[in-house]
Amino acid sequence: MEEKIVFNHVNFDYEISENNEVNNAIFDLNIEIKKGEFVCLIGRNGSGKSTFAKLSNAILIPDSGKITVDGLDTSDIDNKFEIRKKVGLIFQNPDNQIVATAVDEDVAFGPENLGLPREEIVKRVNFALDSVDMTEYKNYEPHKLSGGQKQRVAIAGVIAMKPDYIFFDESTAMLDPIGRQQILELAKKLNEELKIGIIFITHHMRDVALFDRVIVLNEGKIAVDDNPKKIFSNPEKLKMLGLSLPEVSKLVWQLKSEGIDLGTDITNIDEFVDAFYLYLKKIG
Amino acid sequence: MSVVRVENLTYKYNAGTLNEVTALNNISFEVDKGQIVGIIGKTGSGKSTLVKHLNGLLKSDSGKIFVCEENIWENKKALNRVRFNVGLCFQYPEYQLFAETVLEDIAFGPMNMGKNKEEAQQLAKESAKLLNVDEKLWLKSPFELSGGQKRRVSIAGIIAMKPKVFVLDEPFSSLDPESVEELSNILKEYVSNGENTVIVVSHDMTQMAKICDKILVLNKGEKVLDDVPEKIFEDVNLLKKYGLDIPDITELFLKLSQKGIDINTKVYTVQRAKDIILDFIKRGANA
Amino acid sequence: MLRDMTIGQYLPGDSVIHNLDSRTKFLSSILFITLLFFCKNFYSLGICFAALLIYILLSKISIKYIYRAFKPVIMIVAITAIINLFFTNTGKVLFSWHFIKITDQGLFTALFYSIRIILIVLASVMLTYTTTPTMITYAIERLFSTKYTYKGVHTFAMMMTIALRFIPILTDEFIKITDAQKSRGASFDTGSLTKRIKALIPVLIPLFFTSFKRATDLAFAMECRCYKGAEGRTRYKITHFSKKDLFVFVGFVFTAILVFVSNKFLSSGSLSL
Repeated sequence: MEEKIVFNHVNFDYEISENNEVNNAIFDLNIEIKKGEFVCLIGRNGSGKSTFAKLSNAILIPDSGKITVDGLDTSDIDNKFEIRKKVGLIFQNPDNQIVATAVDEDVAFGPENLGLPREEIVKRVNFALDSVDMTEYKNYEPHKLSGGQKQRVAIAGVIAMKPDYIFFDESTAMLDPIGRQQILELAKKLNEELKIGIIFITHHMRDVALFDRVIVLNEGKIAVDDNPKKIFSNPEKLKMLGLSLPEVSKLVWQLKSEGIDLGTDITNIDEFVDAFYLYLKKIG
Repeated sequence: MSVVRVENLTYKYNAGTLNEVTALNNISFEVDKGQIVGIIGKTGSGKSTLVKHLNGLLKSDSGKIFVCEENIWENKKALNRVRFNVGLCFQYPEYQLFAETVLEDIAFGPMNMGKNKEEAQQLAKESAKLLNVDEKLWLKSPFELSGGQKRRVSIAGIIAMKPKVFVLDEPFSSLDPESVEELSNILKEYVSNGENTVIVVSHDMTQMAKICDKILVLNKGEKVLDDVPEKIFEDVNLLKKYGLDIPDITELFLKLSQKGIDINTKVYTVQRAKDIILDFIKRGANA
Repeated sequence: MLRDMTIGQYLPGDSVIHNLDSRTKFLSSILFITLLFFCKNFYSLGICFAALLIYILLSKISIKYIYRAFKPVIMIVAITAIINLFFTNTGKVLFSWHFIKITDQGLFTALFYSIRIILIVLASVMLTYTTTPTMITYAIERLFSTKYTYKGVHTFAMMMTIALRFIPILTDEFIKITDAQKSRGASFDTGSLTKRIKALIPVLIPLFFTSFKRATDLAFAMECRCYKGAEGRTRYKITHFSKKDLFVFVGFVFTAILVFVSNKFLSSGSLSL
């Protein structure tokens, strides 16, 4: 059986939603995310991104439609813990997801809940702390760490569960640029080395270019599902969806309007530099 | 004319104990009326500590602060005036909402200033309009709003006090690109009358480069740079040494120059980048 | 300030004491404090002090932190001392001026109680300095868990852990919200008592609101990590009683014997409690 998360005609609405404009609901959503994919999920505030994440690990259950994780139906209560083991979730505020009062004890929280033998827990804690490069902070109290470090502890807590997928629900929004960069690199590393499927929710358009696949949500529906190059080649549509181009792509489009065509599939600085170099050569 | 003047400000946490930390070290600067001034620096560089001094929440061990030519610690009355002249908006201001309705919450500041109910309501409405808070939401509970709307309402709560100096600590964090753009425009509009001044603390270099007339750089509690954005983003290596990001466009042009393309690298906005490239190609064509 | 609180603080270390079983530390602290109430004279107090001193030295906790632990209780000690000093009328009068009369018995009681309070504080602080809150809760969980009580005990222990974890966070939050409302012109230190209490509303409502939000988030996060209460849960940190722990209990019994012996055979002259 293929390992993937599948949404099939999923609808979900929160019970209390007096304010109809922004309610994070999901409408008739169909999508597949395979294990090992490196996906970015974007969309304006309230477009349903968090709901999508919470539906994927059975924290929320769809009103109608079906969600399966590696074939397990999320609405079947018996699958609940198996699914949560497979699908990890990192929240925005690192303070609100750390349970214990010491770093290693927090990382152990998940494996303890799984009822694993002690030797296995110790092994997993050490491995997880090493993966996020926090071994030296093992005995620290969480509130003595920086935001980025706390977020890495939270990630270690999820890694210790040996998940197949990790959702980062705006996990970099509260961090400074250094912390943000570290978390981004860590996500990439986990994807490459441990083959964990990453679904990264963010507002930073500059980071979007790093992913293999970009899903744009708008009003609870999938507006675009493509690679970054394609996404950035349609600035009007992005703007309509409440998003903007990264600075580099903006420059590409502005130059294009002046008659300098570097090609519209440029998504990052290096590609721009190469394209510009070629362009200069071409015109002599 | 300067509206804020800071002279030799030094502040120590836990002064006199074993855990003494110098958060601000001999900082002096001036902020001119009608400008948007940015304060940047990596986490722990003293930005938030500095900002808390500007409206008298923290009192320094040494140094003076003048707001509208008045020493803020001169007497208790001066301090009250400062609280209303300098509007301070903290990071994640949505956590300060408490009233039963949106409008009531926005009117909290004006009421504290001693305005009567009608005046306060009037100011609240004006401020809500300025922040594009939909009229439909005015009588709702602030706790029912979405994150972006809460942010607007809480910022409106400061603007309703009509502060001469509006200070914001990380106002863009957790906002989507559309809202970031909108808030930037509101700030620009706020200073456009030439009377008001805005001071922004942010990590978002690209946004800072776009909106600021002047930028201060803090490092380990010291002011290390104080200049117009053109000059600030000139020495990229220095900024990196201070643990700071640089605007994407600046990084792009540095890479171009590293590749042997002889181009002006003093650039930090898309608009200017386009002009420089057009100019560069024209010159190349002429040569 | 709120931030200087030493109570409940843990100081990481790798001393013999740090590595004791947390149950040992928990039990011995309680036993030690109980023993302090059995002390009848300065000799027995002195013996307890000596025992505690050895314990502190073994823990390698710096004197700086020992001193800091005192700061919050200095007032309590002072008040107890003064009350005892001035309001004990029995014994030989050492000094008198108008209505103030200081007797040797008063001086003795004042000193005795002060030292005892200090020793109680020291003993409890030593427990938290050398044991993480989680390990203290773990000790409670292990000591009180039986086949019939384990669910309740676990829930209680988990609540305690989370409370300890969120004390510094909520303290920060309280300061932050207070500052934010001050910036909007709220004033907390002027006016009548009712006015001041009313002034706290704009702080307390956001504080409750964010606390609920944090609680919801945390509940989600715990569910995401498969938390389902005590059922089927294993432990990461397990401690076993070892020789070291035995030494502590032997040491305690030895101290206790000395205390009872000195209570019985050594006396502080005519002075007594």
